[in-house]
Amino acid sequence: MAKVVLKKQTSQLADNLVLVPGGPGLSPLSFEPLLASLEGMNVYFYYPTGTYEGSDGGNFSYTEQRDDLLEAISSLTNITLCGHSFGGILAVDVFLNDSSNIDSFICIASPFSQAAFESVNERFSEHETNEQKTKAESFQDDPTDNTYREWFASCAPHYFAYNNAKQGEKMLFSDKVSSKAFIEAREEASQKENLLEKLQQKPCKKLFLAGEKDNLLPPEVLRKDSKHGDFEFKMIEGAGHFVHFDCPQASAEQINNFISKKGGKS
Amino acid sequence: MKNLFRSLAVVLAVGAMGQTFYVYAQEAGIISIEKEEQALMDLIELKRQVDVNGEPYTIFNDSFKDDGEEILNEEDFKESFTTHALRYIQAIEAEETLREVIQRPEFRNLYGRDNPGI
Repeated sequence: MAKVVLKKQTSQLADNLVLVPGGPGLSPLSFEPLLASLEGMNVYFYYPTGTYEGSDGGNFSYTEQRDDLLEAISSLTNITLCGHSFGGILAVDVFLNDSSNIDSFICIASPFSQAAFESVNERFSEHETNEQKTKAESFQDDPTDNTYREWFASCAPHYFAYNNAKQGEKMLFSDKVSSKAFIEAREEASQKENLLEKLQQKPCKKLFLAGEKDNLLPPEVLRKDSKHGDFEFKMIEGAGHFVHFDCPQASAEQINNFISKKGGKS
Repeated sequence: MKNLFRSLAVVLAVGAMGQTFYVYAQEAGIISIEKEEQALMDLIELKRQVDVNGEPYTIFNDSFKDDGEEILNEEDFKESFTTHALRYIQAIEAEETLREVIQRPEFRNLYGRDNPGI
């Protein structure tokens, strides 16, 4: 079952920042380093189904995951949805489906276009190691949370800044991942380019953060998607694909600034 | 493998009965169902001859003629068969079905090099 968990409280009247992880299949663990530097807001972690209590049972389709998020945040108001990568796609889709309690959102390194997904595939293939291939095959042969976690962790050099890859690997090893969420939703998640056009027709405040050192989705690729969706674009120097994990302070500064500008009530 | 190809030929032949119209494919222009059907059956026959006789493709490649396309080896065969099979799928407007089927776990390895997500 999906759920939001309050991780940092400022005041009941403050804006609510809900952090949505990527994958699909990851928990919000990668957002932990951000917490210390986020100010003037209540911060919630969103745990997708399977990442809090395990993967057994349930429907993990893309649509189900989107509706899970919609329901999980239904009791909150003044929300800024902030999604990392796949989480950003989900955040946009949720906003387009029901924006009554969402007044802005932030995408962190989220690919929308076919070109962006091709960038991920090409760059990943280009630098894939034999160890990563072996882990991928283990997951294909035996698709469990454990084999998925091991595979993802082995791929840390693709996802994190060079000097933070070991920390990233360690973090992924600790993540309570959901392999079913990954298997059942990833294909549809890669076909959401049309969300950007819809987004243009439904204006709201939105910010896009990209990592300067993102090995899978370089800023020049993400800048195009960001422009297409009419986002304010900011590049975080030295950050890889997990922008907020590699550079939590710089990411938090951008988020703080964005939320304070939209008129928080704290 | 041979039985698989024979079965596929039967399925394609049955599926093609009554399909005598042309459809537009997204990028390839107009695709003829009959032409793709014939190309696939010729390719299956070519493969059968190579397997049965243990001879190289170059010996039998006269049996397959499609707009000057030549099948000189196993790689040429694989590329041509895949291309014509996909064109056939486009011709019968089964792209959406293909997307659904290809998502099944048993076909994960068709995606080429996979990554664990974004």
